[in-house]
Amino acid sequence: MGFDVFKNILILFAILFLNIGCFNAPAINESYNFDLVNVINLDKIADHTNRPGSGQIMEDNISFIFMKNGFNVSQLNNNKTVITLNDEGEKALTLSCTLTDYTDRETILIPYRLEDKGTIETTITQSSASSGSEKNAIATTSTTTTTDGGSIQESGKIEYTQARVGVILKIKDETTGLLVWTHSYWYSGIELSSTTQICAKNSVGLISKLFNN
Amino acid sequence: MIKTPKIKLLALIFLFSFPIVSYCQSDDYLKRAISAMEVGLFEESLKQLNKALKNDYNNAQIYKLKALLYEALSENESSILAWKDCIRYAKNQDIINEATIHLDYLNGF
Repeated sequence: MGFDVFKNILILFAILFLNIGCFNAPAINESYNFDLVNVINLDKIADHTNRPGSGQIMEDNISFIFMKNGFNVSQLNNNKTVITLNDEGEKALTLSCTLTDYTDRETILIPYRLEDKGTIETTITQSSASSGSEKNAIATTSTTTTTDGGSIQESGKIEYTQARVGVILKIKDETTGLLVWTHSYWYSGIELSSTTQICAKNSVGLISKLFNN
Repeated sequence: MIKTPKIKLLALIFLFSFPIVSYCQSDDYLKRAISAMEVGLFEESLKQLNKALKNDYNNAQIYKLKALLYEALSENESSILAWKDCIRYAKNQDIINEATIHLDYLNGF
């Protein structure tokens, strides 16, 4: 009985672990044959509402990274970008990219602790009382020391801004309209330009894996 | 022992400046770090963050900023270590997710 319960818990943890591990993985149509793909047409990327020109920046970054990965990239007269994969292939895919985040003004708060180092207060009280003759006067001295050890507490927050670029990528078959691959991804950084480049690099890296087998 | 007035003066400056320096709190270092980062002095910013961590060693957000600065400086090994520390002291899932995304990238997928 005890062993069965332990086994079930173990299976549950294994399923949870696998699901968490695959949480950020792209969704892919496993039955689609990517070896038969000839070209990928890159759709024009619309600007993010906060940043005019952001679509063109992302499009240029994606073209650049595809070239760095060894693919032939053509920019046609109608401003369309075409990535050629396999001259013997017959299928055409369309890659569309939506910018979900494009900002260098994401506010991040750093909480900090202020250490109160405390105080030490010493009070010395002296009094004298005479008992009849001045020669026998009694002097009394008392010392009181109060120590405040201080405290450590979270006392405030400091803010700074970081860049964040997010995308949703979709690849569909041009002829059938079948969605064959989708993924959402984001990246953060200090500078917007390098963050955009890393976001494009990671996205294209995942797409390239489809055609490397 | 101290003979010349110049040395006396320097000694006095040293003695009076020491308690001021030692009393600096995390927020002072953090303010300096962020100011340095905003003007592009990433290495100076890292120095100030390391000082802030001496008073506040388990602050995940400071490790996160360190990791981002190391990434901007293309010091990937140091960035990986900082992201790992960030995860170790993180108290919410969002920062853990962000650290994981960065570690995936830095470890070459």
